[in-house]
Amino acid sequence: MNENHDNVKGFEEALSQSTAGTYVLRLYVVGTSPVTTRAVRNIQALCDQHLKGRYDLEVIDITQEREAARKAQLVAAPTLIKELPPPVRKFIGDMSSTEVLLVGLDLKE
Amino acid sequence: MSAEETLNRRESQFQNLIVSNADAMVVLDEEGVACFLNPAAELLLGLSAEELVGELVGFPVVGGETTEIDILHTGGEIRIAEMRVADTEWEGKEAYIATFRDITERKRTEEALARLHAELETRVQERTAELAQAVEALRQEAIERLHAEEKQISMVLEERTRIARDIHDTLAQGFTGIVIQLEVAEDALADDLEAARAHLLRARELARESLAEARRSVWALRPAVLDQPDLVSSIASLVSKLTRESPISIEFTSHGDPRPLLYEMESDLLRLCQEALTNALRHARAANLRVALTFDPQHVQLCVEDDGQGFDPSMPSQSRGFGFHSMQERVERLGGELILASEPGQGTRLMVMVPVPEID
Repeated sequence: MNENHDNVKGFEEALSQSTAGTYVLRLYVVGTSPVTTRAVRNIQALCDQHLKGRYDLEVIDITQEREAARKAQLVAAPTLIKELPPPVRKFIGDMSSTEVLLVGLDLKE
Repeated sequence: MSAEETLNRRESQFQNLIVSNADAMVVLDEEGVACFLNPAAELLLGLSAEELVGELVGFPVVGGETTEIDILHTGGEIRIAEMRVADTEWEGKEAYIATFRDITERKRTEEALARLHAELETRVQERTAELAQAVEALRQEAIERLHAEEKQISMVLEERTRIARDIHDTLAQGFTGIVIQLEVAEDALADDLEAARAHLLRARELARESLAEARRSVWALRPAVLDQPDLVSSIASLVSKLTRESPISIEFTSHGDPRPLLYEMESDLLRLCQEALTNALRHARAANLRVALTFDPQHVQLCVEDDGQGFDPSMPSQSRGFGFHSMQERVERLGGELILASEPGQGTRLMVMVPVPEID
């Protein structure tokens, strides 16, 4: 019993640690405009450098998924939404200021 | 005025400034939540201030001074704006003011210009390729022409070599023979008149042979040897050309053994034939024309006749009108004879008889 309990506890701990560290990011863009390309490249580089192995980045083309944009209550694109970890944060622009983003994503004080 | 009043007044001045601005402006707090937006922003986003204030719009992330951004109007339209962000203070707290300038029309114009530019570029490239092709074709043509000229020059040189050989082989030998015969005759004059006479006869014979040889060489020199057609085919092609161009039927026959003549003679005869035919076609009102070219050992004879209205040759005004005089001059130059036979209603017949040197 003790051993089993320990196992479950260990599993839960491991799970919480793994999910606590995982960033779920969604980047909403319009087609393949220059600003889209720039934003995708910037975010990808930031994730590779600072969130390696613990992020889930989804790029969503608003022109293909209008409904998604409406649900996310977007007014502009590119918009980056940090779904996890809480709190939910939104960023708009070309994502070219890494410093601002790192602070915004709580990756830097 | 209290400090608070001053602050309030300044804030309301600031708000007025934003409200009256033509660019869309949204004031965002530190989290990216909308605090305020001006009428231009309401218009650009399709949202009223009541709808957006308090909502999470997003924290503006711009690397440089401005960035292009796609604005999602609530109506579904996507517009392009230039976003500029500046630090500000809102209700005593740190905030950001994002300005959006609608550049959709400018972008569209730029795109249209780029398309036009690309189109022009393509057209210029096509044109350049066409020109290159034309230049290449011209170059090929020039090369071909050069080759043809080289061929012609080499033919001329070949011909000259042949003539030089001819003269050496036949004429020089002939003259040598004549000289020898004359010398022997001279020696024999004193004691053997019969023998002298025989040598003189032989000398004359040799002289005749050489003369014929010389003539043969001169005929061979005609330009015709290179690429000109002979008189019979020249007249034949003239006749077929005129037949194609007029409804009148023209018949051409050649008699005797056609042979090459001096180039000038052939060209004069062709010219005479052409003039006679043209006259007949213009004035005779004939249904049929006949051309006959006859070679006999001493002459060549050209006859052009029609079955037209004819005229009275004794009336100088009529015959002169047909260029008869110049034809006559031409025939006289060739040492020949021209006969014009015609009477009203009986057609016209033109005969040219020209002597030609005899050939062995």
